[in-house]
Order: sequence, then C-alpha cells, then structure tokens
Amino acid sequence: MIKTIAIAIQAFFICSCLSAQNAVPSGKWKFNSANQVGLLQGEAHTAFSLQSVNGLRRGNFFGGFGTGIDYYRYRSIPLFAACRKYFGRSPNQFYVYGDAGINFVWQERSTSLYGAKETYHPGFYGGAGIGYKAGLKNGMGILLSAGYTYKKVINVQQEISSCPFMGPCILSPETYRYNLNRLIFQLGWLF
Amino acid sequence: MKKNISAPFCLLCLLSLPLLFSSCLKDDCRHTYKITVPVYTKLSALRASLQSKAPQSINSTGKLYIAGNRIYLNEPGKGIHVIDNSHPDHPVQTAFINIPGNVDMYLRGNILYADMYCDLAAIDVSNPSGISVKKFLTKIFPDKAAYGTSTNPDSVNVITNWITKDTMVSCTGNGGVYPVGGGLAMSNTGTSLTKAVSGAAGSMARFAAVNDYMYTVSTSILNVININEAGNPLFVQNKSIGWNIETIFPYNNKLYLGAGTSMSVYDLQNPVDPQQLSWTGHWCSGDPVVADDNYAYVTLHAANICNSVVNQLEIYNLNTSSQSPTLVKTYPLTNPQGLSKDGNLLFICDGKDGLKIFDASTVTGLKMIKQFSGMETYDVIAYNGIAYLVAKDGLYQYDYSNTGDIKLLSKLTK
Repeated sequence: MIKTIAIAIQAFFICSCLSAQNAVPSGKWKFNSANQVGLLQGEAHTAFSLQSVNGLRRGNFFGGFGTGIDYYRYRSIPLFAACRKYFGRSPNQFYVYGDAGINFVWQERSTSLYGAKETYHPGFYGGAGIGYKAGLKNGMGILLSAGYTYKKVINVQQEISSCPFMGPCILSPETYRYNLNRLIFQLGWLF
Repeated sequence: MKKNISAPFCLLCLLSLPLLFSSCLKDDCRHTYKITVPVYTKLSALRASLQSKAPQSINSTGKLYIAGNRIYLNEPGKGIHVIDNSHPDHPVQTAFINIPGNVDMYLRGNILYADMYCDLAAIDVSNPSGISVKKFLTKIFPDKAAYGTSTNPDSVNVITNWITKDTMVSCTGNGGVYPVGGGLAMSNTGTSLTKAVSGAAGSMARFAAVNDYMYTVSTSILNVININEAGNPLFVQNKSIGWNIETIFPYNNKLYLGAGTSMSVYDLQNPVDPQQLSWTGHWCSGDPVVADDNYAYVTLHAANICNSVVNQLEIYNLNTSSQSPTLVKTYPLTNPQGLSKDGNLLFICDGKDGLKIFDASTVTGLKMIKQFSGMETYDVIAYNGIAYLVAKDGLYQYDYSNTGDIKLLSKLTK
C-alpha cells in the first residue's frame, strides 16, 4: 500500500515539475470538475474507489456536489456536498476538503429459500482531508489527496417464521448498522 | 534544485501522515434484534381460573365441535363459547367456559376434553353455566410447560405469554451478515373431521376418538388416552410420530394424520398402540385431511411454515394394492383451509374466497355447485344437512339438505 502511494506521488511530482505555472484567477466564478481514483484502507481490507466532484470555484474556495463508487465492504454510491479551501496564490496549492452526504448501498436484493429478505437503507457519508494540486495549463491540474472517510451501511434482514394455521406469525427483523471508517488516498484530474 | 527536492519530500510526509493512524481505524457494527422472553404462570393458578362465565362476544374464532343441539366454538387461547343451536336459524350463546390456553376439544357424552396449556382437562358440561372439572391430566402437552419433572401444579410453571424486547449488541464474527434464524414457532393449533359417537369435529382438529380411546397430536407426539370412563381419562402412552404434525382424522379404524410435508395413516387394530401403515409425502404446506371409504382429500395451503406457494386440493386413492395411497388428481385453489365431506358433497374453506361446495361424485371431475364469499373461512363441518362454517368473523350455518338450494341459515359474528 505505502509503496503504491509513494509511486503515485513520484509520478505526480514529475507531472508537477513539467506543468505550466498559471496564476489563480480571483473574483470570478469558474466551473471545476475533479475526477479521482482512490484507495480505501480500513480494518477489513483495501478497496478501490472512484469520485467525481463538480462545482464552482471562486478565488480559493470551491463548492459543489459529488458522487462515485465505493467498494469498501459493501459496494455503494455516495452522493455528497463537497467544499474545498485552497491556500496560496500559485498554481500549485495545498488544500483542505470536506464532504457530507448520503451513502446508498448497491447490492442485489436477496430472498433466501427459507424466506429471509435482505434490504439496505441509506446511511450517512462523510469525509475530510488534505490535498495538493499541481497546476497545469488553462486552470487544469493534477490532484493528490489523503484523508479520512466514513460511510454507514444499514442492513435489515427479515425472516418469516413458522405460521401454522391460526397460530401466531412472528417476523424477526434484525438490523445491522455498520460504521465503516477508512483512510482514503486519491489521485485525480482537475479541469 | 534544493527547493524542488524538499517540496515533494514534505508533501510525501504530509500525505503519508494518516498512515500512522490507520491501525486506529476500526469498523463498528451494531446488531439490533428482538428477543422474546416467556411469562410464567403457576399451573395451579390456571386451573383455578377454569370456570363458567356468562356468554361473551366472539372476538376470534378457532375450532368447532358439534354435539346434539349444542355448538362448542373455541376462542383461541381463551376458552369455549357454548351455543344453543336448537334453532339453527337463530343460535343463542348460553355460556363461555374460561379455559386459558385452550385450542382443541373433544366431547364424549357430557364430558368435554379440552387442552389447557400442558394439561388435558375433563369437564362435565351437562350444565354449561355450572361446569365441574372431573380431572386434569398433567403434562399431556409437555411442549407448553417449562422444563422439569414435577407434576405438582404449584411447582409447574406454564408459559402463558411472551414479552418482546429490543436488544442491541455488537456484531461478532464476520460482521453479522448471516441468514437470520429463529423466530418462535408456537406449537399447537390445528383440528380434523371426526364423526364420533357424540358429535363431530372439524378437519383442523388435533383431538379424535375411536371407541374407548382418544388420540391427540402435538407437533411430533401422538398421545393415547383411555376414555372408557369418560370422567376419568387415563393416560396410556405417547409415541413419536414425526414432525410438524397438524391434524388428525379418524375413519374406518384408522387415523389420518396431516403434517407439514406428508399425510400418514395409522392402523388401530391395537388401539393402545397405533401402527403406521403408510406415509405419503407432498409439498411443504399446511394440510388438513378428511377421508371416505375410497379416497383421502387433502388441502394444501401456502403457509409461512416453509415459504410454500402451493394452494390446491389433492385426492388420494386409498384402495391400492400397495399400502401407500396414490395421488389421483389435484385441483388448484386460492388458499384452502379446512374441509368436510358428506355423501357426494365436498365442502372446502378457501380462505378469502369463502366456502366452496363441490359435487364430488366423480373425483376426477369435481364440479363446483355453489360458492359463498364475503368472509375469510377457516374450517367447516357438514353434518346432518347443515354446514357449520367457522370464518374469521364468526360462525355461519348453511342448510344443504336440498343441494339445489343451499342457503344461509344464520350467522353469529363479532
């Protein structure tokens, strides 16, 4: 994992050194789209993620909405609001970011032979971290970031138990609430 | 140049910093479910509450027994409504016998046998407003009593209720993604059509008698009880008969047992020790059974018991060279429950489709001659020209003495 990240950062800096040094425009609204691939590291395993964050930037502030796909434990689609604060005025900038939204699990709904039904409910999604943008021509850039991200998964399993004749039917819903805490390392393209 | 080397190095350190804390990140899982805990009552307290009461409104309906001009209608878990049926077009409730936990019953003369949780009670009902308990047989239905060897009613604890509570624990193992198990399958319920010495029971009955012996079934046990002296029933023996047994129907010195996945026939040549003659498997489903000289009629209804979707009538030929009945024909139905046969008429409770009456003179070509709908039906007894129908909302009676003009006589509803 560390080796992978180190290689990604070295590649990132090669691009950064080759990049043009455009100044950051201030006082104007500008559309930004950041598209990143990432690695999620949690207690269970390392997983892959994709994100696309789109919004408007003015000066060193950015606000927008994002979505993606998150393969950690349960494949899911987060929908979230995103904000960023860049530092400095050069094309190469550090930034901090924060995301908050809802996580939708993308699993097949299953029904077992014995009548158990499994459903998933949306849960909170959020994250925060730091990053570095290596500026290229025309306001484009390469992004590298690291941070913490959280997603909640709510899984309800329900079995229909024996119900002979007029006897009582007892349904036994069982709910599993997963709080999944991960580190996320992302590399992406900003335009 | 120096600046270009130090900047990536600093950034690498900065972005790698979270890795130092990666081992601190733990996934957390909370498992929420309901647990059900029993409420116990002393058997002695339950016995003390068995008594006659004034007639009460019918809140829910269960099994039925017809004897002379009386109808005994079970209110599940509560007791038995006694109904004077001298005028079938105008039945009158005369008393309510409070029997906690009661589901099944059988009548021999003036003695009513009724289950009361784990007990079998023999009750003199010659005067329904002033009954007297003749005898209790303890732990005849042991699955309804707490564990223990004592038969002292002050020491026997009976489960009379269940309390459900929400519980939350931390998930264990693989994070808790398991097929859920459990739930509570309450034992008891059921019935059967038994033309007995003193009356008739429905097809959903779990009590039946042949000559001097009464037979009761629970989910896996057949009890044999000597009722030669009606007021003094004597436990003879019990024997294991499989699993998920639901109904019992006596006919022609045989017992027909309906189970979740089978119909089995027991021979009564030795009445104290019934022997299995045959076992016939079918779809997993609820299945009351009735029989005549030549055929057994089994209704299968989709039940949650195994998530089945089968709803049909199955007719088996009993006069085969082999001992096992053979399937003759199946007929699709909506949600068939209890059934009854009188002569060539076959009465089937088809759940929310109501009561269906068939001409069964040819089993391979049943013809529906009448349907009464508008109620959710459970069990029926066709006896001496009157069909006694138990529906979810009460008791209905139909006159079928003229098959060309079957008509409603009365209804006693909530």
